[in-house]
Amino acid sequence: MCTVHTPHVTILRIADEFTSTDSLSKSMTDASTDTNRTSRPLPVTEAADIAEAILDNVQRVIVGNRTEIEHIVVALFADGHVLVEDVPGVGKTMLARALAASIDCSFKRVQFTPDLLPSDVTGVNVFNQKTREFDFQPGPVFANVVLGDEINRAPPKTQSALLEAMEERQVTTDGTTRELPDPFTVIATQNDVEPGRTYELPLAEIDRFMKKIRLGYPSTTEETALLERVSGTHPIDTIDAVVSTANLLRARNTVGAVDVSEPVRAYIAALVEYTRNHAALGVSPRGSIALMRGAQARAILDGRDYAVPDDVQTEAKTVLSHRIRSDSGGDPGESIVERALESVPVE
Amino acid sequence: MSVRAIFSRVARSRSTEPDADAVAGVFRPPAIGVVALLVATLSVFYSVTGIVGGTWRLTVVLVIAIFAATITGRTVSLRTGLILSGVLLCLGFGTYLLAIPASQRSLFTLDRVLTDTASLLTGFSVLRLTAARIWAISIAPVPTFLTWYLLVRGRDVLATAAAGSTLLFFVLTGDAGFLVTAVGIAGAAIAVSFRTAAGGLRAHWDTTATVVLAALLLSATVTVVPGGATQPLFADRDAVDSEANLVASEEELAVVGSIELSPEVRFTVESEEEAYWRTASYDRYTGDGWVRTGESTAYDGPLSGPPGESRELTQRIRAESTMTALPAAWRPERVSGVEDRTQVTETGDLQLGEPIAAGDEYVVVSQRPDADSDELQAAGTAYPAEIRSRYTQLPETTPDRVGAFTADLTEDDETPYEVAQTVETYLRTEREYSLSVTRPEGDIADAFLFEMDAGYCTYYATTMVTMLRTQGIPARFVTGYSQGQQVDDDTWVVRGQNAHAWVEVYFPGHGWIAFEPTPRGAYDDARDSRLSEARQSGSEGVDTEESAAAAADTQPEFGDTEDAETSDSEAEASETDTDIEANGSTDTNATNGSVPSGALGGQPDRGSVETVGDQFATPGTTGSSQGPDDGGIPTETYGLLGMGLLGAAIGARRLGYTARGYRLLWVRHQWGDRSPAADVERAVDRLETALALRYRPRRTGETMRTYLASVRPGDDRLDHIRVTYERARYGTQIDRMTADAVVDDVDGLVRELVSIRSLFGR
Repeated sequence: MCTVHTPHVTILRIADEFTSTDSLSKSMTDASTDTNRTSRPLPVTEAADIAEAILDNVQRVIVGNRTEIEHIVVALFADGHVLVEDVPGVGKTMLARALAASIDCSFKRVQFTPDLLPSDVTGVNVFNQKTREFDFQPGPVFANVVLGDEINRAPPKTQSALLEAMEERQVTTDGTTRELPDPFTVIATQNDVEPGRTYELPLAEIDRFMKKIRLGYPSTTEETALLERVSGTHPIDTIDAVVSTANLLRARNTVGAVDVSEPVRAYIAALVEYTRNHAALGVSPRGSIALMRGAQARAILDGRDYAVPDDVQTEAKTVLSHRIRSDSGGDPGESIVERALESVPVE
Repeated sequence: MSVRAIFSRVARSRSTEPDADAVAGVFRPPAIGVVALLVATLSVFYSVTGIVGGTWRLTVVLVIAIFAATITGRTVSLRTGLILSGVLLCLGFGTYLLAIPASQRSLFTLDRVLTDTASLLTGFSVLRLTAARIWAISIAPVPTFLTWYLLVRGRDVLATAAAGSTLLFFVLTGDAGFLVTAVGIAGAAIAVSFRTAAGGLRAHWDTTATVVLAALLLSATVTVVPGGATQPLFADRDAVDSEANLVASEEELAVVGSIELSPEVRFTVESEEEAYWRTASYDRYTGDGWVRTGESTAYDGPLSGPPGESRELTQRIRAESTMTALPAAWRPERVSGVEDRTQVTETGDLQLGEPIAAGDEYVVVSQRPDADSDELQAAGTAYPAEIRSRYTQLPETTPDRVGAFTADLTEDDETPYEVAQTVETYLRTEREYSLSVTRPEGDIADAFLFEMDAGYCTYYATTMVTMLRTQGIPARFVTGYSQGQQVDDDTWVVRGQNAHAWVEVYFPGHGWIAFEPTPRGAYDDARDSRLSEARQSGSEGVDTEESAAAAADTQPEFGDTEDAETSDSEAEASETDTDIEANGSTDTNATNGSVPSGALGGQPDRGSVETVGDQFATPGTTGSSQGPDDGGIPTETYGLLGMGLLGAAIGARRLGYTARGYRLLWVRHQWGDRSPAADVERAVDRLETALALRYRPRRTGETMRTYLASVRPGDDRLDHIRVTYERARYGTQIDRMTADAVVDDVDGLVRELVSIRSLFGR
């Protein structure tokens, strides 16, 4: 069964999921117990504090890259997934692990390889000799934070298994649909070297990532500090969770309540419209919704309960760029977004 | 949709001109300009008919033309419309040719027509056409029809071209004055700019205004036709030489304000008797000047003399300076010495094709009318039709009171001769002679008769001709020189200041007889004092040897000698009873003889040929109405001021001063209370404007936060303002107190940021 949800519906569904605790109970432990409290938004300042705490915690592991970490936290708060694209070894996996460790939640990692099967991601039914029944063995996707490493190395069939889970927040195996835990955030990494041995993600699927970010190499100073930090015990082993899953969910509700006034909404629409007029394929409505969600989360990080155009501008590049297909030989998505930011007037 | 259909649609949308078969109607912005241009052009036609008559008929014809153009414009294709206009033009010309008197029509050859067209285009006013009335009525519908037709079809540029070329024609003929030209050019500029800037007019208004302004300035300062009727508005008009205007002017002559006297010697005459040395006559009165209609032909053998009795007078004239006219006593019959360059006008005047140099001599044999007053009394009123139609015509604008007054004045007179004498006497005695006058607005004759106390010969002569014409008596305006200083029994020295204007009245059987409405006593006094002044100051060219000797012999005042001479000749004249002479001086005698000379206090006629050439500037310019002692502010000063202000406004806008100045004012005031959020937004707008004046404007796509941080990083007040602004604009409502605090903050910041220097940039 494949239900097609509009992005809108997806967002609205968040609240519903908390009521259907039965389906969650199998895989979730914490969140299901106090469903009623999770739906209550945190005050803005507390939500901002949570974000700050996560950031600081991750920074204990990752040197530098504060901006990128903020982006990931924004995605976490906005209930989005992140695609990290970069060369190997710049700390993509470490970042995801540190983030998962900062939240009191489950973390799973899938290393995508060309021979990875969809069931390796979603899980399989195994025949239980004792009960004479098929037991479902959940795949790595059943976790709060899933790291899909080098997602572009797996064949499209496997990719789409993960991507379906991302969009639908449920997994269907052998006709049985199982809800994924909440929160559910996928951090996928993508290797942009060795392009010959990769399966490029289709646009329809890449669109499901709220953001695509690049980490980049650390500066010399940062690298020096990094080396000093990992010389003893690796810091990833020492950090503790700073936020409960319940509070994260409440913070997400705070994000949803952030006021996006008409001028800001119009601004988002104008930006998106610009990309549609200046590229072969512009940003979809899913993209504009993601941008608004990002702006809302960004406002929380800044301690506000309303979004300003600056939030939109900060988010636009990571949220919009990867959704744009330029004409052959045309400008890449980043520069189109840059130009949109320069030329669309801010009211 | 087929490929072809798409293609044709694209092609049509790219073409700037409308579809050839589309009807655009006249209710569009460019129509304003086209209509203004058309009105300016038609006003020239109306000014022509205003002078020569036919205004009512012209209106009817134009209304028909516009009506026809509206209908054909909606039904007939462009090509057919153009052909129709061509047919209309041919019809118009045909009508005009048929209206020309048969005697002249025979002269029309292709060669002749081409020459005429060329001369029209070099400043030959259409008023000089003999059948100007028919011309105006038959030709005016053509550009009207064509322009309106094209306008209806939406061909604004072509319509502008049609009306504009007609106006250009009038500029070249000199009939379009400054105002008309300016309005027309402005109209054309507006039409074309509205056309090309359609949709974006607001953005282009200053460019459009610049174009219009440039056109106005050009039309005001540059004259296309050298010596044409349209004087540049700002030309140096003080330097008008009086003589040049009266005598040297060729076919047109405008009445001007104050004039000066030039004491330089022009020529000497050897003649058995003195005479008014006539140079030209004018038949068409325009209300503010005179025009001679008709053509000139080369001198070709002896001319016919006057119809009645005459006596021959041979004059040998030596030019003392370069001369462009051929002064001679009326009526010249034969010319020798310069016959190869002599031309004869339809009025019988001699003209000089090329100037003659100082020292050149020529001989003119004239037949002077020799009729006494009894004969003139008996002459009757059987005027030839051509004379009557040509010499009794007055502008339609001539006030009725001129005719009424003249009728009253001459109530008791029974013959034209008596009427002429009454009018002559009236003017001589009831008006003061003065060279310093303010040129009146409107009709000269009316003004001189009812408003002015004083004037000089031009005013007297103009008024007399007008008065006589109101009574149906053919009369014309004549210019030339008075007899000058007599230095020997048969020699006269004539100076520039002797330039004069007088009147000729037609008597059947006798021809043109001169009358002198100017009081000669005062006329002479003015010239004598000017001459002695010039002599004392040692000016050159004031005297020939003879005249210097004569002056030394007698007294410094040559007028005495002259007086003596005059009395003699007057005595002679009365003895011989030849009252009426063709020439001015004799004519004067004649009038004296018939009117008790006591009325003029002695010798009214004597010696007073006007020395000063009256200035006859070219007619028709609004500017020429300026007298030096004119108290009011002249019209063109307003025009100039208006253009200056408009130019300054455009310049200020172009340089950004208006916007800056406005912002400078705007930025300092909160202008009233609204909701707290609106107040904050307004305050931040002001702040942004102030910052833009001081630093740089906010870029497109730059948020307020980024902008503030970039122009004034680390300013706490700005941060506070910014946070409140964001909350007011994008977030929840703010309270009044916060808003007022922000407004106060902004006030303080704006005061710091903006000073008057900001107006002129940093």
